[in-house]
Amino acid sequence: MSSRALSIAATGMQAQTLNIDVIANNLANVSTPGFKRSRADFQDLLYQNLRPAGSASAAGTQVPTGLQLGQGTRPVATQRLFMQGDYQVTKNELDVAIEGDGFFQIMQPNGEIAYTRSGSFKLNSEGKVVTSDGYSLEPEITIPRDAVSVTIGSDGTVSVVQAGQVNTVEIGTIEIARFANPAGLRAIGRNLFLQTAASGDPVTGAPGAEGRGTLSQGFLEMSNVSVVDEMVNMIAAQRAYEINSKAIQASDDMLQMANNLKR
Amino acid sequence: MSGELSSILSGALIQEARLDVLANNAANIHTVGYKEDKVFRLPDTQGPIWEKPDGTPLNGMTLNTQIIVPVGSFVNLDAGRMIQTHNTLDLAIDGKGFFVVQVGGKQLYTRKGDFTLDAGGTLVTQEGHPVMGRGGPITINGTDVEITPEGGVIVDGEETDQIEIVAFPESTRVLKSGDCFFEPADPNVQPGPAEGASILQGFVEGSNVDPIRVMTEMIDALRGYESYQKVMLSMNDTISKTVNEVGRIS
Repeated sequence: MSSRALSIAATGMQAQTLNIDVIANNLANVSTPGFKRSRADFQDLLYQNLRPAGSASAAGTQVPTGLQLGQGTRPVATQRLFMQGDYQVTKNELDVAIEGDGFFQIMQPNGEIAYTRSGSFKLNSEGKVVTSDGYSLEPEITIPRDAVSVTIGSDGTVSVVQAGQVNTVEIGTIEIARFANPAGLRAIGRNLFLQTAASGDPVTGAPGAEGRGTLSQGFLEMSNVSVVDEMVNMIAAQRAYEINSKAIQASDDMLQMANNLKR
Repeated sequence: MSGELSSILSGALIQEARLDVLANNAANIHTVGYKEDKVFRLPDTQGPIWEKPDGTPLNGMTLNTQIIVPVGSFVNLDAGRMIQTHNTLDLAIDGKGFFVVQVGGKQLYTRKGDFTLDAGGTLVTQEGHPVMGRGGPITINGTDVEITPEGGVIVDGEETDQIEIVAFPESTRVLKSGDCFFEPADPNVQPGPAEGASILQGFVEGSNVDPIRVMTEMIDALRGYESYQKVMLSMNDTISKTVNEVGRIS
């Protein structure tokens, strides 16, 4: 029955709708620092074996090959792609980018540590280094009120020059975390990710050691969304949607022709 | 039913099956590791068109019969486009071969290499089925994971396992079992190590469905169906003339 093609093509249209949703979210975050683009991941559905291979045919011979009819597609996951974003020079003392692997550790208000690539930090009223949402960096770094300049070394050491002083004073180290499978992290919004079973346990420590990236002060890692790529993906998704809608049309036309057989 | 009409009907049904298969290919245009199905008309269209559900030819008319659609499908295993993702556990096979995945006590084969880890650090598919290595599932404990083109799993500088890549002998027919898995049609066929296949880390293999081909074949199937419909209509006219006009006296 050609109405089978109708429902198969419908799964294809639903899949492409999800694909467009993911692309739209990527495009919306094209200038979100530390944002990582996603990709919708699909799988084919079960197959119907209409005539199993090797079954006897009418003439008594064996059918060398059967007919396998797929039932369409379904989404299984949205996979995040953790490739490096572009760096932007901001010359801001508290803008830090990670060059290479690793995540900043952020203490959420609920006491759970989240991870981010977005290094656009601010100071709160107590002088603590926090994210734009006011969540503090873990381990906490507090900049003295009389500091006139802050230096963050590539190995994560934070040093300040206090008013009236000539020498720099080291006040702490920014530690970063690394995962075996960053793609397994769960995004929770606000540029934050949570560790999951799939990501593995974080290995934390000073930047630059054990494969962890190094820090660059005065730089921000921008979103890794490439507008051109997303536009191309969007066109591909839209055309794929169209092809599926054509399959529905073709199936509809066939049913109509079948109905016209009886006049 | 007259013989001519039923053979035309089976021709129309082939076009219908073709459209179903094309619709499934179209639905999976963006499915990683998907391989398109192709439909062909079986040469064996001799013999009675009517058969019993168990496939034996039927003489005489009873209920519970079906019409043979002399059509088969095969999987086109041509390579798809390589898509770079930069993800550590995204693997694509360059060349012929399959990853081996354990699904509920059974080994299935796939080209869909966007793997991840489960709670125990085992390399699994997105659905959580373990990927097979040298001697069973592959466990990754460490942060620095490198997969060599030969399939070697290097964790923190030490080779811990080897991802199994297998291939079936030429001319083995593979069937799809859903979720981008394949299995040999003949369960006795044993795969051997893949020759000349290498693994690309940070890539996935896109679907090998060609949208333009799908569109043109869809048009072809639809117009083919239409031709059969026209033939059926004109045969209906002929029969109608025979029944109603031949032998009319005045």
